[in-house]
Amino acid sequence: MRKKLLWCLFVAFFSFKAAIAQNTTVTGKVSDDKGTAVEGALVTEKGSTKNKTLTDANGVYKISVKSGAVLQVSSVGFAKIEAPAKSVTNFSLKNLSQELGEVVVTALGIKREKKALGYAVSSVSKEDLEMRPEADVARILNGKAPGLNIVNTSGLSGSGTNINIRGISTITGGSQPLFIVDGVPFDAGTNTQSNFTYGTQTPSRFLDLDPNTIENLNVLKGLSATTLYGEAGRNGVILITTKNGSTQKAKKKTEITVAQSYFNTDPILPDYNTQWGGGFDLSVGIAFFSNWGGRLQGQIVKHPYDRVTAAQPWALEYPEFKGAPYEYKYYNSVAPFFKQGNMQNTSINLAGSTPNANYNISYSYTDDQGFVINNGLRKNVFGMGGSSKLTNKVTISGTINFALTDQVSPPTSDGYGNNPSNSSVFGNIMFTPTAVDLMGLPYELPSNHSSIYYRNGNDIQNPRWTLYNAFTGDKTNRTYGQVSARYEIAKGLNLTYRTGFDNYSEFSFYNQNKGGVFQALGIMRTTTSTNMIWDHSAILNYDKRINEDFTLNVDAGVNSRRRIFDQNGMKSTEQLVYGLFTHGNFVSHTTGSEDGSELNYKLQNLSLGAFAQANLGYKDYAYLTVGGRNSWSSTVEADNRSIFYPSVSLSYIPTSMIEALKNNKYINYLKLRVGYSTSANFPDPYSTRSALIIGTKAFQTNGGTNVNYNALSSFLPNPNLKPELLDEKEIGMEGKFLNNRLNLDLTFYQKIANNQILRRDLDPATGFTSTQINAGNVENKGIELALGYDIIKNKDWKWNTNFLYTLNKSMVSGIPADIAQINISGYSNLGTFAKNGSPYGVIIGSYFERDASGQRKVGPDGSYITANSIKVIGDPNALYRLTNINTLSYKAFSFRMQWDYSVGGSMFSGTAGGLLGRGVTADTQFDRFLPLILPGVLENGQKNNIQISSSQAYYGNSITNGAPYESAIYDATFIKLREASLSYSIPASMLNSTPFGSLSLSLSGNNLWYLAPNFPEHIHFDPEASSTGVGNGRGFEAMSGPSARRFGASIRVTF
Amino acid sequence: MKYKKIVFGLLLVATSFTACNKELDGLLTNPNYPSTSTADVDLYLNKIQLDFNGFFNGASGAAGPLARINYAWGGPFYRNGSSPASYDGLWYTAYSSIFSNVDAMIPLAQSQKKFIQTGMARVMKAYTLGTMVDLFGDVPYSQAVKGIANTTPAVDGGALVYAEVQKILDSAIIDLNNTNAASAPKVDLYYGGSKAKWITLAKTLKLKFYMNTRLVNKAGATSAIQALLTENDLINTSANDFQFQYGKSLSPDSRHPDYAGDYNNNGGGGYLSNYFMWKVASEKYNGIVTGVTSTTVAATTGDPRLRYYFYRQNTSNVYSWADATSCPCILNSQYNNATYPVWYPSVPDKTPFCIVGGRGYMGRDHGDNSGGPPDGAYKTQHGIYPAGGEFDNSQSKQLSLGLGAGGNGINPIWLSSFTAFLKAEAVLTLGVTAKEGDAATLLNSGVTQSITKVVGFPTAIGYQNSSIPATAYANATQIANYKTLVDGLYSAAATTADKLDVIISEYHIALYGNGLEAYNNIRRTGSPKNAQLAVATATPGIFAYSFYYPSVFVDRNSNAPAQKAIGTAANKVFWDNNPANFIK
Repeated sequence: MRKKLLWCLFVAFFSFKAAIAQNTTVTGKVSDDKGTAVEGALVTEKGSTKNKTLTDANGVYKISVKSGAVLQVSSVGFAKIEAPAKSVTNFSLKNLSQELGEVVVTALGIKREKKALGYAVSSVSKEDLEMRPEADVARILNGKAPGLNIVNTSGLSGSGTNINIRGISTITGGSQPLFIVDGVPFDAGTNTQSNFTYGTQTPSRFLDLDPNTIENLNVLKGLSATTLYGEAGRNGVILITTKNGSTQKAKKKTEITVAQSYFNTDPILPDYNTQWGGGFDLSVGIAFFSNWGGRLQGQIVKHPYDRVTAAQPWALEYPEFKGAPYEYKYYNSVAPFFKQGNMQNTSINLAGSTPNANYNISYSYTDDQGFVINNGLRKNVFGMGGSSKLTNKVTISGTINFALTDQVSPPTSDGYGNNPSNSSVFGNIMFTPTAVDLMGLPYELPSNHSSIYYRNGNDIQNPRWTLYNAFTGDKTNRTYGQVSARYEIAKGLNLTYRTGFDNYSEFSFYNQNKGGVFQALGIMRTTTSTNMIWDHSAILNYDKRINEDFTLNVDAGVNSRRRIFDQNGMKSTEQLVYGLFTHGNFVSHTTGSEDGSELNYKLQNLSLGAFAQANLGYKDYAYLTVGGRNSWSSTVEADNRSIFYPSVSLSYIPTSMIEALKNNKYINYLKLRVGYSTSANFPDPYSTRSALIIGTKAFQTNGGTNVNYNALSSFLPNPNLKPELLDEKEIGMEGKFLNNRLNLDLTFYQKIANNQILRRDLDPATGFTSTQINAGNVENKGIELALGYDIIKNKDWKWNTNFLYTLNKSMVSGIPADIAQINISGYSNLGTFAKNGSPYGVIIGSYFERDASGQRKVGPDGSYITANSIKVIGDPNALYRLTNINTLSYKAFSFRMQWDYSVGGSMFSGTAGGLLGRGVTADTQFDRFLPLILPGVLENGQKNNIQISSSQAYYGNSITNGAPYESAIYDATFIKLREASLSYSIPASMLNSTPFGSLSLSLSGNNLWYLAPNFPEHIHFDPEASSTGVGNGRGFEAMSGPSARRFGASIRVTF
Repeated sequence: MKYKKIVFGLLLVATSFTACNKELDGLLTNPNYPSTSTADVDLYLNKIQLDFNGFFNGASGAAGPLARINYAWGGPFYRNGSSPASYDGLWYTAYSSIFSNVDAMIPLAQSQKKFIQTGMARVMKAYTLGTMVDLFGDVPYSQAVKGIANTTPAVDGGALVYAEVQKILDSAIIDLNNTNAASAPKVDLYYGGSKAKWITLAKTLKLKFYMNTRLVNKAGATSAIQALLTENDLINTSANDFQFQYGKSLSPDSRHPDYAGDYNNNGGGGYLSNYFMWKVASEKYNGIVTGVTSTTVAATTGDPRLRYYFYRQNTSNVYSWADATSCPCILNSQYNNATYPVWYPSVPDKTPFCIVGGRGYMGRDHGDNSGGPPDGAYKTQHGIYPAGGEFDNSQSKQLSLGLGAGGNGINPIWLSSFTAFLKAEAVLTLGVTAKEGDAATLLNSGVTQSITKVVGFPTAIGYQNSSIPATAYANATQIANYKTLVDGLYSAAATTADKLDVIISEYHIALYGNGLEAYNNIRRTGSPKNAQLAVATATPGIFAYSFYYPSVFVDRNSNAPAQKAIGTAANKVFWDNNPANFIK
């Protein structure tokens, strides 16, 4: 009843209005140059400020004007046009420069024109992600966006990857960015099952994404960009829209794309010493660890497997070696140990659309076999998504993806030229003495398959035995997706509800047969963890052009995010029957990992947030964004649970405001932006309340009684722990110059995390070993610059060069004065640390004693003296990084090349220190008969004059013999040809008579060449390595294995 | 309608937030562990007992190389023979495990009248605390284990802490004597729940700690020790031995750590100390190794403990691997024709160099940190006593996993022989009287008890090896001969100092498996006097009279004293007033 009355009033009002002015009604459609309807375009009667209307979703408008009036149409991103009003007047708008109209996806999937953003967003297009020789999206991103730092943990296929955006701004917390896939959080964690010294390769869970299914990827770097995501976004956000989640309509009713790639993977190995063999002090000692032996001259020596005197049973099993001659010569052992890996990827994508709906289905298969036996990654990713506009003003959309990832690898543990800490495929292979015929000698005993090798004590696990008997792996079944519904409450007012889930079960194992040197009785450790993120958000969006000058856009909403992690596992030891891995085939079982940590545990946390953001635009050249979020988290006590963090940013486009700059030939576009923003961080769960530690079967007495215990936790809970607040200032400019040939995007930022949630190690004399406190600051400031220039741009030739420059300086302060330094990763006496007044993550370890002038002191034995404490021996942070990408195209050919250059930063290299100390590489291929005098001073102040043998000088003063860790610190400067590709797209004209819509071919490779000039030349060491896994450790490498070079070809067709 | 929906929606949001607040509260407690209110006294005590043994292991392992009872692998220089970080484990175990759990457990135990448990806990705490002083000097005590109330505890003087150790032992004795006590703990890994044995131990520990103070407080130590000797409720028989008995289980690994290190399939463990092997095998026999010739019938000369202490993987006199470089010292320094370094003594006592008199006793000299040649199959390794390994019947066989007794050895924390030697020292140096007789009698008693313990060890731990005839084990003649030899040495010693050296040297041999008392002894008495010098240098620096402060202490505690200058200053503990060059 009431509705009808209202309706009548409206009708009466409009009729009255029509009656007083003898106007004509004009209708029409506003579309862009491609004919697509433009919604929300402003149609105004010229000369009047009040008579105006907006186009609807179909681009249609209706306005009544005086006869003879002129209509003006304006819309964001298009040039303003006008035309005399006829009864039907259609407008076709012209896009302004590409930049002006560019729309980017920002936080919570909100699309914004890039010019309205007061902060930096780096977009990586699908062209830069597709058909790469890598299955790991993070590794492909390396060098593609300024401000990003990507560090691999190994050259093995499927190994974990570190990503940091704008430095690391936490001392002991997590520093990896948040992954948002199709609008909802995606777990990108790395679920390690034991300390890095136990050698399991753990993949990072973004491995479950296939780079080929990504439609676009944005990197939200600053807090201004990520505030709405709450505390999870404090380390930056990698925002991914998959092809399934994209709402972009397909070009045709259905389009099928098939791509196929094939790549080879080769390890990059050291050059070995071909003139000198195993032994020590020039002895012809085939059984030594060291390669400081005699000249390789094919001398006949006792066969290393002739073991009669050693009373080892294998003398009976290999009688042929008894008394057998063995040539003391160079055997090429290391290279044949490796193999050529290969990777292939097949991806199929089907996109389709109907007038009110679109859908996409994708499937991809990746098979990446690494450069050692039993290392590989297989991945199947299925996905589908779509959206449909219903008649009742509701738009629904959803995506669902299944990823089946299966990764296997031999274990890799830490080492530096001695036996590694545990079974490690690289730990013993890299320094194989050159006279050891690794590939020509048996690696196992026929009777029981136990490892045998050249040392008489048999104390080295044969690397080949490791390959065939030690396995780690990780199988993940993952389902993730989202459903959202958008309801148009009123014109310009929309309510969106979105729920996303990400659920995976990860099955990890570490299996080793009995008969090895490590875990001699065999081990089987399995864990199954399930991780679920369930995320809900409801967002109210209000979009309004207030008047001709002002536009307003408000987003407000609530969000809840629950994460449940549950892991169950068991470790079994003492294998009964060789070769079978079932827990039932092992004698002893425990729920503790090798490092003593518990394999069974669960974590749950819940984070709630309420947020709002308003963007006020003025005349298309000034935009102010004000926003904030309040978060509540389950990981702190109720009093400290709530924290509010605001943000504000401003964008100003002089080229749209100042007349002289409009249509300027030299300055085509200029945008200045400034922002201030904050974010929060909550501690890990269960830091505020005490718990009783329990241990079962900690000891078994001689009589067989099991001893259990309970004990106080050595962690001191802190009930007053508060969330921390981070803030960031950002200022930048974007521009296009010289007829749009020169592109510039420059950002300066300063990010400060004050009063952090800090793991404070306590002097055990307090009764506890650690607690969490609010203290310590990390400041990161830096420059991000992207500079592109079209050197040649004509009909046939295009040559574009792009420079990406990243500089980040960090500084740690505010750590309580009684804490000398905080260990971040590595060992307690060698690793990366936070220390007041030093950049984040400095390497601290043992060092050489030096005199006042800095000369190393030499002891009475002619070797350097080690100081008995630890200090800063290196800073792993690069001074700056520079990437240059050149794209050259001629007609349908395109050539692309990416060079990365990283300057400064130091690294502890167990590989370089170990190989040099063992004398196996060509770096130590000199006349070893000559004695050496180490440069330095004696304790009496005189110049060192003590002659020592080359073995003593190199081995005796290397980390393999306990020399200070400083001896293995190298400057990590490198230059690298990271990617090169040549591609050819068959011109459309040639495909007219074929079923193909497009067809392109490409040849590409990555890590094709590099040079790290400050490392020993023949080791060919790649400083982009880290042994401490995914975390905050940098610059610490302990036999992480060779890096990989990949190259191959791909083809892509569409139907 | 639309506005209704919005209002409804907002209400929904508001109510869900209230519900969520409750939800947030529920996620604060760690679901992986029980609450502290469920703590059990006996389960606390189990942790303390295990950690106590762990502490002893760490302390003994760190002290042994300095006393030359173990091989010092860290190099010839005292300043970098070890690093501050190498003592972190001791600090952790003592403070954040033993002391914190003892302190948490005692009030709970008192409320349940579990006084046997509190008594045991106090004894273990006292031993640990006193040992911390012995190793580090001044250590935190009065301000320690206060949690958040004091995150930077300062040190107390060693003498003060030593006085506290005596008080804790006294209160332990009171607790153990409490007739009102609830039942004994279910698990007592040391004494099977015997109150009396724990009391005897407490009194013996009082003796041990008083003995250390005899240099700085002779009068006080004398009267206290005399009182203890008069009462004589001390560990005088092996039935009261304070030892940790290991098991054979691999999972959890309950084997003796020396066994676990040596008895594997990949070249065994570390080196044994040449000096210690020499002391047992050949010092008393003009440098000749005796007692190992036959494989079926034991010899009548030689130390009866030799074949129990050390297991030779290769009994050959000649190390004939592919080339002699596997045992490089062979080339230039066979025993008797060695080319000793110029600073070495003129070898009247045949101090070992490189190897011990042939016959397969191959270890390492003090401070030799040269790289390991391929000698895994040649190193002499731990035998059946105390590690629970193999009896050396000249099998000349490389070790492998599970060989020998299987690892069910012991940690000899305090044996009856130690009490006898300590009494001998007290009688000799302080003039106290012991019921057993004079110092010579006590020395003989100590040697007898040590040999009895070792020779009886295979039976005690149930070791059986059918291929070794009963006649291969030490016999009465050999034992008697040995005792006669020692008695002769003692009576031949001219001065009190020489007599003391004989006592402490025999004590040293009996201490195999306990580096801690060997380190205390050498600092207190300077014996054994012929302790081996460093091979690689004449100037190893000043002896490490105490340990570096652990890095977890100096690096995490602003009130920690400045790090010690080991090797360049004599960092003596409070009870040591011997001169700076007392030990080399």
